[in-house]
Amino acid sequence: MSTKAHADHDHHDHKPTGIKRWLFSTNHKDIGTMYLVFSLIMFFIGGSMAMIIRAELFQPGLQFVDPQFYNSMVTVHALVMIFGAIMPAGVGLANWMIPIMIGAPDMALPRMNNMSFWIMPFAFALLLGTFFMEGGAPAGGWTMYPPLVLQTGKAFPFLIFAVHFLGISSIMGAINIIATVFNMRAPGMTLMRLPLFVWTWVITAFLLIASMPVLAGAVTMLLTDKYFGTSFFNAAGGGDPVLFQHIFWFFGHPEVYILILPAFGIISQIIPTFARKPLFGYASMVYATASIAILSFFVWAHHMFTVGLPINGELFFMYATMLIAVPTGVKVFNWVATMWKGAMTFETPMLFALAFVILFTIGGFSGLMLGITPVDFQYHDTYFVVAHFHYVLLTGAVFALMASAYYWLPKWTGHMYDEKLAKIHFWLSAIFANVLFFPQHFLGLAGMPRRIPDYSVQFADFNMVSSLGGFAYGISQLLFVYIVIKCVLGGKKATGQVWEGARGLEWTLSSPPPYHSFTKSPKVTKALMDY
Amino acid sequence: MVKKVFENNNEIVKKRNKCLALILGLIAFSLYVGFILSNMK
Repeated sequence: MSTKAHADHDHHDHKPTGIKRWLFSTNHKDIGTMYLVFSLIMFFIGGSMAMIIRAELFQPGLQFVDPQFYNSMVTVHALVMIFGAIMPAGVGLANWMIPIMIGAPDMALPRMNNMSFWIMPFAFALLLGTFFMEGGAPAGGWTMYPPLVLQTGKAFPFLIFAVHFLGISSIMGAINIIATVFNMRAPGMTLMRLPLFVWTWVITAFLLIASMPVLAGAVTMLLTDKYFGTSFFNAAGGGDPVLFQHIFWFFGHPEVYILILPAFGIISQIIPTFARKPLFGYASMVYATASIAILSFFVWAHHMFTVGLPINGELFFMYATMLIAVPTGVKVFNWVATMWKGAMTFETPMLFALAFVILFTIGGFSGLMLGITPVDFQYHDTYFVVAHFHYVLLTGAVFALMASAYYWLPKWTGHMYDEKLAKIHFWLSAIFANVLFFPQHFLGLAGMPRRIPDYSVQFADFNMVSSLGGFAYGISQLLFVYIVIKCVLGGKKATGQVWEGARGLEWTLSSPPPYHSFTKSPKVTKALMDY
Repeated sequence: MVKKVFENNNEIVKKRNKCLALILGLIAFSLYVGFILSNMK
């Protein structure tokens, strides 16, 4: 970018230092780093809550916390992990990687980028501050179903405003990503040459813009029901509490794909690199991602089969849910086909990616089981559901995020991470995540309800195994922090290419990339993007 | 359009970025308001 376009940026071409670099940053890499660090902190805050949950469930009976606090743990763990850990991690990766993957000088709207990050710490200060309030933190579940959630004490408006702020932050981030990809691509970077990670993020951004306002609308209605005398969800005033469930899940199911589509993109970058083959079926991957996104708006009621829907409605939502398995199957098939006859090596990013393919598929299949209406009547609100969504979100989304961290850490820091420690981290994570969540399938099938601090003695053994897995998984994540810090501070110098089999614009830059990425307009050719 | 980022037309790109952001923001806001209004009786 040697032309005037870059000259326009020259007035802020210097690299700011100190606190101002982070507070007022408009640089996509710095903002990406802040997102990633923030999400790691939230991962450990949410993880600590999970440890309390598993400690309480280690044995039947009430051990450590009172039921109200336990319910707060369940509620806030979910909110923190979804809105504080996984989503910001995805946005952080998007910030760091999308501009350098498409050959753009920065994000399209850098000041808005800064704002969308800094809203988040305020939102979480509102949410986590509720632990110190009269009546405690929200305890009605992350789904905030009325009338239960309306019993929340002084924490209620803080919860609602935290959700609003997080929604605003997400929408601004999504707008930025769409504007960047559509307006800022380098010459030659056609839409069908975009790296899959960029494609999945563009589609995710559209999902965010379409679904976040719906959540905001739903929680605004909760607020007016509680404080302004409306009756959207109050049966006594002519409203309907089930309406909230419809609206919430109209947001909630696309939200699931907001969490997982960027993970699909990450895996689609990593597998070709370590299989040393181009991605099998690139176009079908793009269309499958778009199909999943569109279908995600027509399946919301599979979360509420047991509320008493008309039979035709239940059938429609069951079949629509089954339909999503088709494009998802296309993706899994393509990943496996990419590896077929590839010259594979098994560095840590590839190990996490392989674990993702296997374990996410397990989570996908248990999702299919839950999507079958008559069967769901038995599984609904049991630990089977807990096992299902943790396979999708932990061994799915989080494993993909771990894979991406190891994949791009050398590019970000300029140093190779400690491969031996990273492999130990992988094996501890993979083993203990399964020890943690696999027994929960059996607990659910045996009838153990979710969101309870105490349980019948017949569930004791599997709960003990699950808790042990949970503690071991939690502790092993500290190793990840050590590996990251060690890598940031030093280590073997990374080349620009980093991985022998990697393709794309980001690998043409030095490691770490310069503060302003491209000083010349990059030339994008088919050979650069593929094999 | 895309080429213009690198060819002397940064102002046009900036304008288009802002325009697209405004449109997407309006879509999001109208969904928010529309959802609430559509559930009023």
